[in-house]
Amino acid sequence: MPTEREFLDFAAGILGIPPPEAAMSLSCGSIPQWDSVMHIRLVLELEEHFGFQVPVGEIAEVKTLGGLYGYARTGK
Amino acid sequence: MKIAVLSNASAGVLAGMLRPRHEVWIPPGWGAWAETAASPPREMLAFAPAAIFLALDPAGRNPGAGGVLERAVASLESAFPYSEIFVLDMPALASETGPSFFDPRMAAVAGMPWSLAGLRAIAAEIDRFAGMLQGGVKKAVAVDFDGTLWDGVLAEDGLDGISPRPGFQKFLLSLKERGVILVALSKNTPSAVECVWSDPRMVLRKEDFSCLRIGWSEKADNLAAAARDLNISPSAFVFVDDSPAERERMKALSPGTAVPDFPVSPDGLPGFERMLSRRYFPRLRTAASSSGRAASYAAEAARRRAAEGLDPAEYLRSLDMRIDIAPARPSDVMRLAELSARCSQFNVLTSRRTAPEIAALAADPRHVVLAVRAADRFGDYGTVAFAIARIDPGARAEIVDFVMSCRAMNRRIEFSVEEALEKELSARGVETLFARRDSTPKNAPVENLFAEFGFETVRVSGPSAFYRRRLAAGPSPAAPCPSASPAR
Repeated sequence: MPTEREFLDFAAGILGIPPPEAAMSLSCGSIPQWDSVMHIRLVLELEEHFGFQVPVGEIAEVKTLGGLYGYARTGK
Repeated sequence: MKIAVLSNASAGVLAGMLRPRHEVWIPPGWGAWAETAASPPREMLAFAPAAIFLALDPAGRNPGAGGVLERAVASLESAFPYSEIFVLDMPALASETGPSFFDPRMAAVAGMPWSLAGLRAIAAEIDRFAGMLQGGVKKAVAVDFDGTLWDGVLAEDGLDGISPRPGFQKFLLSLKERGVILVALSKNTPSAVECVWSDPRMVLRKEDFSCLRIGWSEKADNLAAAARDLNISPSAFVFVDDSPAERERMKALSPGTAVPDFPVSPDGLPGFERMLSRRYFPRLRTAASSSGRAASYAAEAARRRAAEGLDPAEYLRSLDMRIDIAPARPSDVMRLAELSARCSQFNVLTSRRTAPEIAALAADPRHVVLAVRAADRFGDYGTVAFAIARIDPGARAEIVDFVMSCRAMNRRIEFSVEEALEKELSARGVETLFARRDSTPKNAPVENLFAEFGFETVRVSGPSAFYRRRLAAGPSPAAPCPSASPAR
């Protein structure tokens, strides 16, 4: 299970933002870099890196880094 | 590089993965790729991509069947005369990547069928083709013998015990006919291989190889030696060898050389041939004017024979060089882009300009773009060099490109080009001409170019040297040996 910091640092790298700006509360649409297209890429990259998979029906529903971290923590 | 991607699926995620390295244009919305190709929108025309990629999912809507793809490509070719158009072989990429190429969830949420692994494979393929347009072209195949050109081991099984692979040899011959250089790289005793060339089952002849390196030393060393002989870089080679151990050694010792996996069974050869052709030697529009390259190599061999016993100046006079220097015309653009991509030695800034960039400069009144053709009594070299200068306010100009094919080096052609460039710039009121040279590991031949032209060195800063020359102040550069004909 990744630590919160590891998770946020990796997400910041994909989003192209400085790591301190990546917080669990950051959500899709709240910054210009994280649009709906980036959302798909972010989910895919996080899934691959941390070894989890978001069910298809939930991909568009999980909007925050905190929400995605929940999947990474439980590993599914 | 500026690239456009047309797809029958949503290409947004793919574009996002390409953007750190390229400027990417994709149509707004998606799926209407055929309509976009048939009638490209103004934004796409203005974007002037150096390359247009078609990424069509065979299982998606309108995958281009029934002539749709061919019509789309024809339409793009006419709307973008200076762009390379690549139809990505999606089935081949899918089979190389395996089932993980697709992610069944993506159709519902992202309008595309591809997984992250699939997107990476597509992006890598696009990067490879873009790299080719920026100097990463492959020029030669270095091929092993035993287990590659034929089944069996000549030294152990004897001539009767080996079976040449005619299909694969025909394929290599077809590459040679398209201008690819063939080099033999075999661990064998040279005298033991001779018998194979008279075997009627062999398609390839000894003369089909520009260079034979047969012996027991390290293949990477032999490849480097062949590269020196041919005056090309080891990174311009594709190494084809059935031995995984040899391939691993080559990867480790010659990092720029492409080392594709060789099929384990001969059944895999046709697929391997398609992959080599598609990935390393695609038919580029920029290369259309260089189809005579094989003939030029023959002319070059005749020149070398003529040079024997002559001193360099005598030899040069004996060539009876004819040089034609004129402002670049639209028909020159693709060849100039090819020179920009391929020439690393005689290249002052190694700017790797794409065809649309050169076309824009040729049409710009503030730039002078000169294209240089050359011929001698042994043959026509074709278009072998170009120079670009930018005219600035204050009667100043700067040379922003000076490139010549290595086949045309050591002919003093550059002096004629400089003379023509200065004459053109003087006529346009330029009094001071600036130039810069950026050192690279490969461009030693131009190290003293501007000094030889009579420029003064203004300053040297790291790999860059800056030069200046007052056009009104002195005579033209040292009298060239061949004389330039007037502009056509």
